[in-house]
Amino acid sequence: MGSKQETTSGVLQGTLDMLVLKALVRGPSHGYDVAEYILARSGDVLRVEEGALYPALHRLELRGWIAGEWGVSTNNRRAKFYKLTAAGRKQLAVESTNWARMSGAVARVMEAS
Amino acid sequence: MSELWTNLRLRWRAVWKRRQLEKDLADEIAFHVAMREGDTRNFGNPTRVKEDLRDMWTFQGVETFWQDLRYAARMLWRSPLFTMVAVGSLAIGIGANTAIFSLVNAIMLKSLPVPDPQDLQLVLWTGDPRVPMKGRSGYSTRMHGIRVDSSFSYPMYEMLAGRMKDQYDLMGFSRGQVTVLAGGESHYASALFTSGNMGTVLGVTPQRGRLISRDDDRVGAPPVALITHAYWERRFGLDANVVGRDVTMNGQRVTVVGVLPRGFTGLDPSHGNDFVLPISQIPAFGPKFYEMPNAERWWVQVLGRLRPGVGAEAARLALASLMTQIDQSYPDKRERGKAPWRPVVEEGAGGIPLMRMQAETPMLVLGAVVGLVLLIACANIANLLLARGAARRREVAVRLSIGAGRWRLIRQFLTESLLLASAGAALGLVLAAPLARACLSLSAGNDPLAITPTVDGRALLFTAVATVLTALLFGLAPALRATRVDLTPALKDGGNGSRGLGGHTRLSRMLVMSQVALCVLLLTGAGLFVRTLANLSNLNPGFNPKQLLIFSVDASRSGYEEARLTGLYERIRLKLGEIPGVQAVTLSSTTLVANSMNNTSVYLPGEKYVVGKERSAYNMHVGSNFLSVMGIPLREGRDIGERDTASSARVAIVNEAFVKEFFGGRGAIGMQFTTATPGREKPEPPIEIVGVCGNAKYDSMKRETPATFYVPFLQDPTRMREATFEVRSAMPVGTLAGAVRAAVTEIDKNVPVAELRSQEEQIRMSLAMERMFASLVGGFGVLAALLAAIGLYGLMAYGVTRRQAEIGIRLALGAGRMEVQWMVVRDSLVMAVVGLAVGVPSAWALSRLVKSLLYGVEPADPLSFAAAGAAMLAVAVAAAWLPARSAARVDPVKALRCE
Repeated sequence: MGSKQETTSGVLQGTLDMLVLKALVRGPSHGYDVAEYILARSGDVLRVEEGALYPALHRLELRGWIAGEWGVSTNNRRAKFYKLTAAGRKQLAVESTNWARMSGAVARVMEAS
Repeated sequence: MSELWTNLRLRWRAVWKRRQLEKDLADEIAFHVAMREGDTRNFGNPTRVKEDLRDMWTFQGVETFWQDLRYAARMLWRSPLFTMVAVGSLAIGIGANTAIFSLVNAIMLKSLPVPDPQDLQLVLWTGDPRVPMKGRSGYSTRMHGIRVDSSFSYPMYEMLAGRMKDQYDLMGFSRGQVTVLAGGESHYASALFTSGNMGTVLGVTPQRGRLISRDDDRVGAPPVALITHAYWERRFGLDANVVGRDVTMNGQRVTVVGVLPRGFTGLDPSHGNDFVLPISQIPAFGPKFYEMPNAERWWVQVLGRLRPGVGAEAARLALASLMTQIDQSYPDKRERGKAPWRPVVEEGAGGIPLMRMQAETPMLVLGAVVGLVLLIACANIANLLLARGAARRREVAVRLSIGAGRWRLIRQFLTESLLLASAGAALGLVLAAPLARACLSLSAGNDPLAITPTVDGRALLFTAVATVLTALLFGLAPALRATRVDLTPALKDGGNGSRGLGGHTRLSRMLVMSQVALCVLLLTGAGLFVRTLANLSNLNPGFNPKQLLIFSVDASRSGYEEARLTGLYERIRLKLGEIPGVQAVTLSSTTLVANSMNNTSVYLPGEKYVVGKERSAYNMHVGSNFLSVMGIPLREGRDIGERDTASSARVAIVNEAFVKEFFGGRGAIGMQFTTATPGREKPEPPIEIVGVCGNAKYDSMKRETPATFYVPFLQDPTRMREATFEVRSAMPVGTLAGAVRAAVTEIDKNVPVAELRSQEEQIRMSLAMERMFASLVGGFGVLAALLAAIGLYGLMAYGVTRRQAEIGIRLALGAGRMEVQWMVVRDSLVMAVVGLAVGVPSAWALSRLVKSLLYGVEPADPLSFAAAGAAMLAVAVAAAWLPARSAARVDPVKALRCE
């Protein structure tokens, strides 16, 4: 899909977790949705590898930040939906703040000439 | 924290829903793949992703353990004979240990069921008090190598309680028997008398009503009592309205004011009480000897609770200095060199330690015995595992060569051992309770113990620890040995060859030899205990216990005293004589061979009284014709007869031991003696010796008959309390019992009949401990021999299989079948002999430790040792028999072709 695309292997693990949490703010979604959402919102830049996505989802679930629940998808198949828990919401807030500070700092360094 | 919790909870759930987890992971990935409609680019390896996810959800250690466990179960399932033998012997070993532990737990370790039992302190004393004392009641015993006494006078208790009130809340108590009349029938009950602060000292909460208060504990207060749960159940059928009811105790009305909590049976867990009464009621219900204001009668025992914040040691020091101060306020009349009076403060959490001290030696012996049995079982299983390990060398070699770590394999082997031990323990737990009950009922002497050994949390913990240790003990060496494999030859010869097994065999032989040695210990012990029991059972008691019914009566607790008491006993004696089928009746103040005795100082006329140099003799108050009814041979003079009445001259019969001690063996008839201390008490008329009888056992079969004199009970009414009636009749005990009870009830229904049995039964009961040792050590000895036989057989059979080629060559070269057989049997005998060489000296050294438990047999008894040795040699021959026969049947041609 062209050279513009980045796979998440280049993205730090903590960042991926944050993106996944962010993707779930809209409401419960299954893994495929999460990946599609991140791809679309990043302007087709961030393609999340499944080999990283699912471990991330399960890691977050085991930490209690998201909760998995089995349901039926729009195409009538059994699918696992993840939703943000209260703890997850709190974690997302913390990470967003950190991210804003970090990216701002990095940007300022890069802008300096 | 909550994060960790969520994590554990989710993963723990996954452990139990393995299948669900697998399906979920597969479904989730399948769904994703389906959504991408066959485009598997970038997905990587779906299986790999699934495995990564699964690893996240599972506990790695637990997973491996489950895997090992399943593998172990499969391996054990595949060799059912091995598994059965191993689990069976472990069940016996672990079960026996759990049983003995549950007894130790119930007797030695359990605390009284009261709040904060660790703050209870038992106050005892040692040394020689200057404080005047004329007689004491309560136990005295040896503790930490010193003689310790338990009783104080009541005034002394009050003084200690008052002056020590900042350190201790001290409770005075005593125990005694009372007679209770209920429903037109009377029975004996046991009572605990406590001071009014029992509520604060013990801290128990009554399940009904209230406790005894300080107000109840006043002289002149209306008599009240608490009852224990067991008594409430037994005598009142758990009647909800029991509080406020009256009972008739020793002829007086006593109001029940409360029911003690279930489980609290008094201060001695082994002998539960029925009633708890205020100690101020002692004059009405206790023995005459227990006088409250009398500072020279010592009968109050003391249990205290440490005040909050007071250290046990500081409190003890304060008590010691107070007691020294009190003691030194009296003039020193003691002989020189006697130790000063001082307190001995013991932990009181377990209540009165009497039972614990008595049980200590038997518990140690039984503990050692079951420990040995478990060791022998362990050696057996280790041996079987070694053989299995040798057979699994190829499997091990393959796993090692494809990269399994040695530690991983050792873990696998140990898991197998743990599974075996756990299965054995589970079965052992089932065996433990009946075994513990059997031990108790075997050891129940004259007084059945109020102990229920239960397999509680502590016993389960013990079993769990024992199981793990057992598994390591028998499993570790074989696991290490089995995983130390030289790969090349092991893979080459397919694991069935004859090389490289030397180490395993050496270890096996050592195990079997140590089994023999351990077995010798048990069998020698069994021999000593069996001989002890046989010696005691065959002992001539010096009287005729056959066809003799005995029972005891204590009318002193039903309001009878002195001449009225002896009159009643005489009436009962005459009445019993009228029962058809009864040949003769007599009575005595103590039951023979019942561990109870009376002794008193004896003074010959003209003898000078010297403190500490008094001579004493056992004595007994007896009825008419005592010698002839009991079958005690009369040597000289006459028996006590109807002519010896309260008003006739005082007479006595003495035994030969008495004649020997006091008269140098002759010329006792017509001589006089007295029991009153010359010049110290009011004079008593001298007693004339009118007969000499043979030595008859008094309080125990084990003890040499002491110097004893018998006086007519009618002539000494002030010292008479309870009586044991001896009824000679050819009728069976069961038939006679009813008539006997009816006769006593007809004379006075307030006087209960107790401890009715035959004299032979009484003697049997007195040997309960010896019987328990003989049967348990004997039983376990046989079991151990069986286990050793299995061990020897296994090793021999394995050796014959392994040496088939060698045997084939020998046969081919002209060795006879007999020679081959002898070769195998000799090998087994050699191991037994080496085992004996270690076992016999060890047994010889250890047997001295049980010397005090033996009778008529030396610890180094040659017969017991010879029997144990012979038994082990016989076991060695028997175990080698089948392997030897199969060795002799080896076909040389076949055997050589195999090689």
